[in-house]
Amino acid sequence: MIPGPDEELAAEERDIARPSWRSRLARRPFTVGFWAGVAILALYLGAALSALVVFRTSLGTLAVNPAWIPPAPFAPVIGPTTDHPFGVLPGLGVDLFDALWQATPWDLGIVAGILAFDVLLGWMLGSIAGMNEGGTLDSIISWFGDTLGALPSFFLVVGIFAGLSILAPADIGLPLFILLFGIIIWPATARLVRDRARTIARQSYVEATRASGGSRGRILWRHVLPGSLPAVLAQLPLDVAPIFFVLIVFPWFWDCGSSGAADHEGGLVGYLLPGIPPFSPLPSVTFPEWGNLLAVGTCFGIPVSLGLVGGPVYWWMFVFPLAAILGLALGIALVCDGLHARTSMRWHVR
Amino acid sequence: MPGASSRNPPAPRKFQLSPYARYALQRTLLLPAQLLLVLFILYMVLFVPSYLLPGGNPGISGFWTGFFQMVTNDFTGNWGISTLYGGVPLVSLYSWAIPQSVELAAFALAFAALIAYPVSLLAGWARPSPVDGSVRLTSLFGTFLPVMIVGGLVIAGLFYWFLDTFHDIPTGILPNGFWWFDQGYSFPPSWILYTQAYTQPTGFPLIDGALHGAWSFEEIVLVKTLIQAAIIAIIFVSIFLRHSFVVAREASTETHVVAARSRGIPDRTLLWRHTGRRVRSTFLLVFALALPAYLGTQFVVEAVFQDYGLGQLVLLTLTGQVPERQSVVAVLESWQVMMFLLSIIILAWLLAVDLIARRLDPRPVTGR
Repeated sequence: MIPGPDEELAAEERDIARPSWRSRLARRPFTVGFWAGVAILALYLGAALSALVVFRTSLGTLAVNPAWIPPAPFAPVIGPTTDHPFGVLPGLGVDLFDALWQATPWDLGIVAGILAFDVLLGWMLGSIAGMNEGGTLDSIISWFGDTLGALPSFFLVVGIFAGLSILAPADIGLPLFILLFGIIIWPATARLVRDRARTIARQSYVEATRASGGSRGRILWRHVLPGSLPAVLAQLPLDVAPIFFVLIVFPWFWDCGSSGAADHEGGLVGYLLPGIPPFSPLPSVTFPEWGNLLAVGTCFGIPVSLGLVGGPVYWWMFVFPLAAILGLALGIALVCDGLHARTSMRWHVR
Repeated sequence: MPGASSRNPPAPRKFQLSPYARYALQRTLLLPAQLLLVLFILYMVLFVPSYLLPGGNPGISGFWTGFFQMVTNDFTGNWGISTLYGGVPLVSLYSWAIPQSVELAAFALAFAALIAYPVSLLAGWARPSPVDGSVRLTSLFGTFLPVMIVGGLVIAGLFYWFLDTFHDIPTGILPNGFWWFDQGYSFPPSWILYTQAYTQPTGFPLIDGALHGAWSFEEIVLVKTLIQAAIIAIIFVSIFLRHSFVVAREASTETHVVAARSRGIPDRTLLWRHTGRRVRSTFLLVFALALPAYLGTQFVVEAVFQDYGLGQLVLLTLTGQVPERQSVVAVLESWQVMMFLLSIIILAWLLAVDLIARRLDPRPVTGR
């Protein structure tokens, strides 16, 4: 049935009052960068889902080939070939392509979990603090956030894990790491959100809502939280970096800094074996995780790490794990920047 | 003056602090409370577990007594002894390591600021432009670049050049011991304690070298410091760029800048004076907020280059222990000292920067 002119007019009025997502998208389309970011993240998600199927029987342990464990010159150096597209990682003794693929669901889970805590706490607490600028809630949140922010995340995580390795060794693991890191990382987000929220709380439309009897909860939910989203989106890509910094540094300090030269039973083997500190969030050195793979790849790929200055550099050992991390970071940054461009009021005006 | 006469002199004005002084006082008074919370977190996380261990330090007579004891020990320098250095007090180890780290930090932060400030201003001003695009890309990838890879590649790449040019290797901050023999000395000068890579009298290698007139020593130390500082700066330039260029972009459209432009003030002045003033305070705040991350990065670079700084102590603390319970106690205690020192540095830095940034911010102070 063809709609009459009145019905069309009514539909247009409805669209102006509460525009549908289609008309919103048509008015302000997403940038090319945003769609590129979505494509990258979809690729990672696809890799993660396929890894869950392919490695379903041994998702938490890398398939180690003992012949590849000793680093050069004790074992053959295997670079990228058709059999091993990303080459072989000595020390761990794994095919790098398979290892990175297997690690994808774990790393996506870690990043998503930590960022979820970061967004939830930082966005909510920052908005509440900004809405109550100068009040008791603001003072408590800002004081606590500033103090927590004064503790370097790497040192705090190491400290907490070292303490827990005594009190509750069975509880140390990735879920706890995600929880702790999420709790530690939110102050930076909250600080930026607070700054934006206090500006929004002074806007005339918020004053009008307040004057017409709108509750504080409504103001927070309808105005302050959506209005401070751009601050969250600006900070989110930056918060991915410290996550991987900690995940790389934990095993790197141990691999490249320990005296090594002994296998796990204490026998001398004449070369370094990768290991993890007793208070690492990873359950074992053969756990598939990009940071762990990058740390081992750096130690064995850049010989200076082992004190062998002047030796050859095996680029593939660290370039591919690094590319996996950078790709994810790029995807998140592009999506966040695209969303930021749409949600930022300043951009709407333009 | 109305209401005032020789019989009724005006009441003397009550002493009143300026709003800025009031804010500074409030903020300073908050510092001990923040430090107390940090110490309490450290106590709960590191000290209590070490006491609960069999073989841990005996005699915790009570929860709060233990906390008081820890705070007293922290502030009096009673930090225990190093099991790795044959019973050397930890306070001595830190006093040897801190000057080198501070010297490197001064160069790295200056480096980062000198690059990031003008580039972010230019990128924010000229948008969209190739400068803007490059800045966005650099700010994204720079923060993710692991410094251990960059450091390792730089050492590997510069090794032979360094050997040919300076007859030394690029690791460490001081020239290696054999370099002095190459220079015709029968042994290194007495003002360098090579076991701890510590120079006398100040502990800052560049200052001590200058005081002793050792100019070829100065040259090597300066080159090594600059190389390491440049690597650290890569990360921090990226962080500063990401925040500062957004502010520069916003500032370039603010009313006072638009008004100044309409009065015919040249773009150059608008950029460096009007927009620059607005960016400076944000730049300082980012400087402060990035410090915890900065310290981690510097420690990794120090560990890669095998400097005898705080990074080396972190490395030794983490890896020098064996998985025996007695050693875990030592790790926890020395880690607590490390975190105590870092927290003081960060909190003091945050306070200083907060006060300076507020002074520099040209925006009207309303509602604060």
